[in-house]
Amino acid sequence: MNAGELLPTLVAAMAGALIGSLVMLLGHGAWLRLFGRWSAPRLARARTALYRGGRDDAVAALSSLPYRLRLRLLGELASSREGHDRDRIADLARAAGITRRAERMAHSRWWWRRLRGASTLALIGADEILVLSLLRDPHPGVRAQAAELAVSRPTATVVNALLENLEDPAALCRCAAQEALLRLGSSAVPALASYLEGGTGDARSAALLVALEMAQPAFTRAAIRLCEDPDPVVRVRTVGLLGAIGTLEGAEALTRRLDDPAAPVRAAAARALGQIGHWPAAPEVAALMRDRSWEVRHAAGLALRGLGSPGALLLRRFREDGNPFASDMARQILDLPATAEAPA
Amino acid sequence: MTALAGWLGDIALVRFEWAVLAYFALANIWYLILLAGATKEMRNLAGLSIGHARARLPRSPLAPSISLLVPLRDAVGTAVDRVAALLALHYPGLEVVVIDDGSTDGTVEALREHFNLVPVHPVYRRTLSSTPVSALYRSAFYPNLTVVEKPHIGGRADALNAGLDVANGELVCALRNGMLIEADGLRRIVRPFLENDEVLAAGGTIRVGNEATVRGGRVVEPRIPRNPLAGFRVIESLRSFLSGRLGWNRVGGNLVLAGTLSLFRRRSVIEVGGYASDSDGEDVELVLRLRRRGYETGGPRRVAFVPDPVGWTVAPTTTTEVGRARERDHRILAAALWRHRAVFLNRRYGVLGLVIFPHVVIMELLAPVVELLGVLGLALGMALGVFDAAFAVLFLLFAYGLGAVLTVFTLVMDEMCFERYARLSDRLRLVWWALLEPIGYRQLSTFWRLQGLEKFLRGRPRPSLATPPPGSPEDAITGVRLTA
Repeated sequence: MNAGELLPTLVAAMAGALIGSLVMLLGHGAWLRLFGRWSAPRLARARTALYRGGRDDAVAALSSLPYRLRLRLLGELASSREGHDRDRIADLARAAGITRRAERMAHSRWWWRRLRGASTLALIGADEILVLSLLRDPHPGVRAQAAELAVSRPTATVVNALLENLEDPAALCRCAAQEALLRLGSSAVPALASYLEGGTGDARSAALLVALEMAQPAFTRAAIRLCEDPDPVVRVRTVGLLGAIGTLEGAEALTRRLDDPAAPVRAAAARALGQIGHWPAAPEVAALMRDRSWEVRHAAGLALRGLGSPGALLLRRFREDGNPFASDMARQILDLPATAEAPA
Repeated sequence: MTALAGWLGDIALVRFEWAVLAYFALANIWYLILLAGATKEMRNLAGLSIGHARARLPRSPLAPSISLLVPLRDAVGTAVDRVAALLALHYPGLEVVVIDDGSTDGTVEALREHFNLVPVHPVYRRTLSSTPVSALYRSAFYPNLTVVEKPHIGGRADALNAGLDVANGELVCALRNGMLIEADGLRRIVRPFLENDEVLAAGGTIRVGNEATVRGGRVVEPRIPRNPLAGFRVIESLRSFLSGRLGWNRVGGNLVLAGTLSLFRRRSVIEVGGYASDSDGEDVELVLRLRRRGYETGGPRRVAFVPDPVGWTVAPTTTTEVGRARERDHRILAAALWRHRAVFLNRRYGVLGLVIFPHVVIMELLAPVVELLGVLGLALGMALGVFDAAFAVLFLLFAYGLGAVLTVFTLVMDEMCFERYARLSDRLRLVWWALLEPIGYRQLSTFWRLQGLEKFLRGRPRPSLATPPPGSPEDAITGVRLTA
């Protein structure tokens, strides 16, 4: 092809693309400015009506705004309200037509509309059937948002659906389900405890992380059983959970785990025993000072330090131990300043 | 005979120039594909950001802990403010590990006094090769602040390795001087780790903050700089981050995270031996090593890029500084690619070996060489009368014009999504710098990159990338205020 023939077409295409882009860029900037100017006083008026006015004033103020701004205002209000105030927000949303629109969106065929719907409903609440349907949505983003929505409707079925989402193939949904369970707190404990006893695979591991943050004695029975799990990751987390719960029953299970074939489990068990200050286990913990793994020796040393006088006595004995690794670790732990904790 | 040789020469020159033209056309088509991928990715992310759940997760106690590694050397004037700004970042499991790389100006004393540092016996496991730590401190005020003191023997990589050994976070982030992280920047950059188990590293956009207004350690009003070099840097970074790196998210992930705020899985970094002390571009080299290992072991291998701006930096404003940076970046890229040349077109490394690595070699590393040869060929052809003016214009449009159009597309995408520059004057200035960049600056940049290649080929030694000395432009803007 001749350069002369190609040139006009190319120049025209480039000029068109440039002009189009410039119009979009500058037009968008101008629109933002104009919209900002238009909406600022309206938002301020609506805010005043919402915070200080009666129900009718608030509904009228909300209804006068475009849907996007209504949501923004509702979000602002909902972020700092709980209990009775939250009911008021739900009532206002219903009266201003937001609830109906959000429910319609939650049934849309487009995932981002369903997500928008779920996001709005998370502020104002939704019925159980809708929450369950959104928790089983085909799109991971919607399922994750539904987990947040589930916090406002913590029925047994919803909590079980959240626990099922711990097995979700999408990491985002698993994390959202974990976070929702954590936010549910005590209302999720019984279901989580029975899930730990019966659950399998990675989901159980994810559930253990939630249980670890909650650290409720209700998990003790399940945790003692999970200490025997073939997966070392599960055992490490279970041992951590028992340490966080700190019951005598758990301490005995922890002492048994000091002989675990996996070094991270032995280290975690020693750490947990040190954390709960279970001094009767001091000789067993001290035996780990001669362990082949640095991590285990380190955890054992710090655990002995946490056990008070019996641990300190054993550490001093280890300073003169025939095993150079044990004596070195004991010396280092004994040299630690009283107020500072060594990095793990 | 002479006429025949001349005729053959003309033919060869014409063919060569058309080949160069085809190279530019292909490069621009490829960048257009990446831009389309980036747009799709951005739409997807914008869609996902509708939900509050995604924003809530990084605030959860279940979010992975992050250790920020801050190598410092002779930074007594800025160290305290910088560390204080980092401690104020919004993230639940944050640890700040400051590594004093042999300061002689009292940096550690200033930190000790301000943060009430208490000496801690260094009971930690040295898994990486680094100069032994001489002292370890922990703040009595901030339990998540650790200060490591070590002699200045190795470079930046050595300091980072010492910090890695001491750090406890599941994720680590090595900071460079002069980077101002947005208060919620870590929450945004951690998202890929929460959303995908395959992610081993993530990079976040660092924007140019010259002339921006900073209040309380936060950029409250970003502006487009009036200085041409800083303005061109804004354009370059937007193009590189948004159309390039974001586009790669959809085509197998990124290879180069240089210039970004990068977050890595600490365990993965330790498994590959930490930062390479024998390489100037330890960040570039680390990403390559991590990705290679991912393919070799079947482990996580994805390097994600987060388009949300997570930090700000100040771009150099003199040609000497910019030239030095360009030359250094290109030399580092060449060295890293050469070191990992076994990946090139190797099926074992999947999309990394067959698409990403060849792209970086052909379209990025060798681009200045092709550009130089193309322009020289054009000048020779014009002098010999082989090419007419129409061809010359066509060549220049392919070489520079299409790139400018793609840049403007990127600006549109950026502003539509992030709305960072509210003022019309800023947007006009943005377009102005985008259209002006191919005239003069692009050629200068090619020259600097060629210098970098030449230095790589000659193996010329250069100063280490260790913690920058005091008074360097990067050091001068640390954390507090980007402009007067």
